[in-house]
Amino acid sequence: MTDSNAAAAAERARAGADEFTEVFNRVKAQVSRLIVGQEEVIDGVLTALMCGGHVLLEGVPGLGKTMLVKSLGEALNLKFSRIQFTPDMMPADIQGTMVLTETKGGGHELTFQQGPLIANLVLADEINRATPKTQSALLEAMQERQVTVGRRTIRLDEPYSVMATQNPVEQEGTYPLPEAQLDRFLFKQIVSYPREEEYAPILERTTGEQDVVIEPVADAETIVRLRAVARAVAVPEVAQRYAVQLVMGTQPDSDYAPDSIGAYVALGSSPRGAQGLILGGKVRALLSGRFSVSTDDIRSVALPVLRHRILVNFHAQANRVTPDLLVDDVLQSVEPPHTAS
Amino acid sequence: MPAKPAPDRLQDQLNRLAAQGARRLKRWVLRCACDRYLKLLFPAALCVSGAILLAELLDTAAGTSLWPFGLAVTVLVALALPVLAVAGCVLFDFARHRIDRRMCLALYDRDLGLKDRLQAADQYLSKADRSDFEQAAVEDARGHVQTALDRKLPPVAIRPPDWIPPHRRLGALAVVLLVAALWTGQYSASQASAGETLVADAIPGDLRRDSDLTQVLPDPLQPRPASLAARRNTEVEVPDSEAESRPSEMEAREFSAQRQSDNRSAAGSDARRSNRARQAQSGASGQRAEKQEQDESEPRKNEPREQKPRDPPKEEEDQPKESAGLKGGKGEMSGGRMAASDHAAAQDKTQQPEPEGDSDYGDEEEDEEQKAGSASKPLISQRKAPVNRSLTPSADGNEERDDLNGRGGPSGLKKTRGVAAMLLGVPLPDYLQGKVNPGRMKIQSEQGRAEEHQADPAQARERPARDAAVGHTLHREIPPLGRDVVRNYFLAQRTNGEEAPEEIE
Repeated sequence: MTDSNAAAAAERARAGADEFTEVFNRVKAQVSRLIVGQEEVIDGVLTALMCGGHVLLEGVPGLGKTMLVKSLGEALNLKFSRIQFTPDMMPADIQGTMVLTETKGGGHELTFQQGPLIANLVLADEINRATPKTQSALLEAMQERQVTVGRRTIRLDEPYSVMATQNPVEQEGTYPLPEAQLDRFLFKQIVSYPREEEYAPILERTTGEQDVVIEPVADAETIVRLRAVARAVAVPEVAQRYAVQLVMGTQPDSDYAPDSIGAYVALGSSPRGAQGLILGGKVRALLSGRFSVSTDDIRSVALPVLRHRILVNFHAQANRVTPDLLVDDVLQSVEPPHTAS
Repeated sequence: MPAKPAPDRLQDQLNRLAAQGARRLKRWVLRCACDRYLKLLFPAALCVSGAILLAELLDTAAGTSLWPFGLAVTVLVALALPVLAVAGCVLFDFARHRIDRRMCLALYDRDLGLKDRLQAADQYLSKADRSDFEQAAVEDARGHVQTALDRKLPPVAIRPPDWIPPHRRLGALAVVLLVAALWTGQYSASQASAGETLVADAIPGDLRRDSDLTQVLPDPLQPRPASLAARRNTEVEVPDSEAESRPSEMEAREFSAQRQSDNRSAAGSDARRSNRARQAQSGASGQRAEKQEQDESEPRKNEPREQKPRDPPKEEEDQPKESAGLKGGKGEMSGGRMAASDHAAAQDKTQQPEPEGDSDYGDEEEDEEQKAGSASKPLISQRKAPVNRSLTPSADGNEERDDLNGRGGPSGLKKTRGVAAMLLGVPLPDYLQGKVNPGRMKIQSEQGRAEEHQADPAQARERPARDAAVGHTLHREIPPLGRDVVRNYFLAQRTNGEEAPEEIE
């Protein structure tokens, strides 16, 4: 590679990274006009969107989970749909179904009526209230980006992202998400209570006269282009090895697993966890103004990527050992490669 | 915009950084090894001093020569051996660590907070076909590599370990043990020299030559006596001290016989081994024993028969045995009891054809021995251990044991007879492994009694006519045929009968 080619290549990468950062910050600013605080959650949701992943938001009612996803859809000017999951909901209710319609001539024909799953940004509200049958209807859409109803297969438009919410309390009458479903979410973000200083702006924005209007600052094409930029970020060997070691550290009987993993974990992370670490690390590297992923980027996304991929056993539940504690333990015990210590 | 350095320059800079990092890491690895193994210095010194002390004690007590070195060598070994051992461990640990180039660059990445920029650039520089972002990562590292080169990492100092009080106590204990070992060595040396002086004064001139000979040419198979002083007393016949040494010798015999009977079963194999060694030893020293016996029997032959009943006879019998056992190299078991090989050798000697003129003397001696044997009690040391009469079945029924002589107690085969064989005494393995133990269960049943409840009686009354809305009624599904009929009817109504209704499909 000659010097001029190298300089041009570096310039192209720099331009893509700059555009990525600019759009990211603009979208975040629009969402932050409505959502007060929750910086980590907003960053996580936007990061997952830029990676092409799905997000599971967990928090008690009233913390703005649904509003966050709605405002994100408005800021990105994407086709947004919302599904309120209930126990009696059937897969056809979200995927769509064939209905008998009357033609102008008085005849009848079966036509496909699309369900709310076919959109760009899908808010699956209280996803754990649906039966496993309905929850499983999301699997194909989330992984293969397509919906199959009968003999009809519909490709979903890009960008496609599912933002699901669930309530950690009121577990009666709910159906916990199966592992296969959980594994398809790139991030699991915990929405916590706002801090004291954040209550005042929340009350001003929600009880005042003026409604906050979210302006669209990006569109679907921009998101697709920026996704390609994010995927082009270089991943050095040190970051890749660290991601693999972190994922293996969550698996019992692994060489990298600390003692707590062997004692409290029934099922560790799958290779999808390593994919999530790398993709999330790429977005964090771009946002930090770098062109290659570092081990610190991997560490910064380890908690939202791995916490829902760790299935704890009975002993952990009895001792109140949460997956977050176990991920912290893995982060402390697994050191980045080539560390002298 | 400053001119970008050539790619080769970046590579050189990274090489220099890697070399600097490698030097630092080597020093750091050495320090870690020192921290790890210098703590073992005092325990090692303690072990060495203890071993020297033990060897000196054994030399003093058993007359062995495990530690034949002098004062200077002892001190030198006690000081140098722990240091050499720790140094060897440190060097082994240092050589075991392999310092990687990426590790050296990671050192600067971590120290300067460069987020792995140097490692990434070093990786991508070796690639010929770099992507846009890889090239950008290389260009990004150029601005930081000079900063890393200018950065002086804090030096790694090799420091002595923190001697915590347990370490200090171990060191003090090592010094105490070393001093004790030195004192023991000095004491045993002084004792040996004093003993040699006494013996040299007491030994006549002709015997001194023999003792010198035995010292110059020691028999390698001859077991060493309990102490140097005892060896001196038994090797040399000192007429003046014979009366004094007899009582102590008898006491030692009784004590050792009692001890031998206690440890009989444990020492059986050892005794057999020592007997084999003594048999070989007796073969090797047979010539000297025969010569000694001949020397001692010749005066007896020349003595007249009236002087044969000597008093005491037992002492005279012991005398040639003892002298033959000591000078002829025959082994003697502790407690003065002759080993089996010695008995065999004595029997062989008695079975040897004797000169004809001495046949009467030999017969009379045999009679005396029989009388003495019938009159005396069996020795405690010759008593056998009681037979094990335990009915507990052993794990291996065919196991041969020394204490079973075929009489009395049940052997492995006999245990299968009788009532003991009918009892299930052998624990059976649990073939249901992994079955959860339900624990102690307690079932408590309680009797319940049915209770009768009274319900309010329903009063019969007239049902009035419905005057309100019916409300939601169940919608009954109309079959497709009926739906078409209804639809056609209303279409016909809408068109006021202008068009005929459609036919039912």
